[in-house]
Amino acid sequence: MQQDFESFVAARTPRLHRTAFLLTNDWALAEDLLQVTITKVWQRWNHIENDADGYVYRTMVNTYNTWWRRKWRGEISTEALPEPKGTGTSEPDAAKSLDLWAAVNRLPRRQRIAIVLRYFVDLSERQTADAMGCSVGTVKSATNKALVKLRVDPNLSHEDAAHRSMS
Amino acid sequence: MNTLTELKDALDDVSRQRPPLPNVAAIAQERRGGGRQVRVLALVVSTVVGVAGLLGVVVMLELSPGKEPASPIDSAPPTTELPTYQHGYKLMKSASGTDPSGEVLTFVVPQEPMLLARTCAGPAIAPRQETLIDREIFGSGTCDTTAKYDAGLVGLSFAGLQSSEYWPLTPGESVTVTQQWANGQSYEGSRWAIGIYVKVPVSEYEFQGSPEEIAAVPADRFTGACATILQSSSSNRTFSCQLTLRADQLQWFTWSSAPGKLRITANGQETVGPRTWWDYGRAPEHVEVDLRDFDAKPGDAVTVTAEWTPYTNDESELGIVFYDETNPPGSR
Repeated sequence: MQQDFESFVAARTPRLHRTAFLLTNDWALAEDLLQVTITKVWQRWNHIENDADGYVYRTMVNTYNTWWRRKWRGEISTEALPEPKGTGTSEPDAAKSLDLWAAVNRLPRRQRIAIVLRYFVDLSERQTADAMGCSVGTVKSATNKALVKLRVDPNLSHEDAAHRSMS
Repeated sequence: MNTLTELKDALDDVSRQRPPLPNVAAIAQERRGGGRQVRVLALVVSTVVGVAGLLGVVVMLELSPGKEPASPIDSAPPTTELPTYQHGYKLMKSASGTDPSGEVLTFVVPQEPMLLARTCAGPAIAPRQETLIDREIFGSGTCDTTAKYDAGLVGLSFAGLQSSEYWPLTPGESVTVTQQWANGQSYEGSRWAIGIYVKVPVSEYEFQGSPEEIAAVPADRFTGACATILQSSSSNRTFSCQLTLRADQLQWFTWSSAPGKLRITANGQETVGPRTWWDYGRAPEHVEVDLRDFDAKPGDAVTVTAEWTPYTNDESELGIVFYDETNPPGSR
């Protein structure tokens, strides 16, 4: 059992760590969120081994929501985003990514969670709904609202918009 | 944004540079097997009011008045000194140094609510600290990368752990806190300080007052129908207004010139978690709460009320503005 758990964690940690960052926008908080999530998964490992992937995202989102409700958040300076290094992307692409990430962070919390789960973790609408503890319709609604906001965000470049469409 | 591919690439790019992690699986197993399952819930419930948890770890940073905010790399806090009083808590015991790697504080858990506060400063690389309680990792956090402030004005900033797993501590027991740089790294020229604070009666806090200078509240940021600046010299320290929310969140922004506590209700219901009051510092604070948290929905007219109690006897003021994302401050 212990070996299975350790293998599971080793295989998922990079993706989960990045997901936690995309939820919290803070690597230190992401580490804490990941650690609490993994601890909870271990505590329930006997019962969830067959659906560990679903459980781990559900736990991470629930834990994040709990923190979010309890935390009184200070105003965050806009230059807090770290400069990504060595990502292999060109400077204009990196700048575009940062702009888009900043726009994602301006989304309401549930819309941001839906975006991260759907388009970073690549969960289905059903899996996203399970992780968020809501209906598939709510996921669709939150995702669509988020995409609309991103599409019309005045701080983002929308060149060639007429020739490209959201898939 | 034009395509989903751009969105996916952006999410991939910004999360690619992961910092190193400890062995999270091993820590999870240790936490479960280490005899830490007993949760002292009564103690927790009695102590969470007003702080971000039984042991909210606070990273504190002070900026000089009039100083433009520098980049995160250059914005190392100028001091690692902990104040004697903050947020209604008094410093009971503290330690500081340049290279935390061992046991730094042993204290007896008091009956009163307490706070574990820490701060660190570093020149170039963001110092990252780990705090261990009785040799188990309580959490970790950075200093300057979590700095929060507003341009050109003094701010007291807070960040740190928001652990939903309250640490089981029993009054009367001796506890040892260990501090170390994360992942065994060392940061030349970095300093740290850690302190145990105990809740003190408001009267004592008032007597001591705040050692810091009063920072003026920027009046131009608190205009409109649902905004006000409350004065401590006035007997009326409550503000109510009604607004129709079109988004799914209620937001507010406050700016205080002295520490105090604040209670925000919407349609008579508490808005911030299970706490009734929030102890805040001298800082700009931005809060968002889901309408669902107080049984409202977009389109509803909501009566919001702020009740303010400053901690100090000094003359002070508090600015507050309520809004939603469809109608942010300044758009009126």
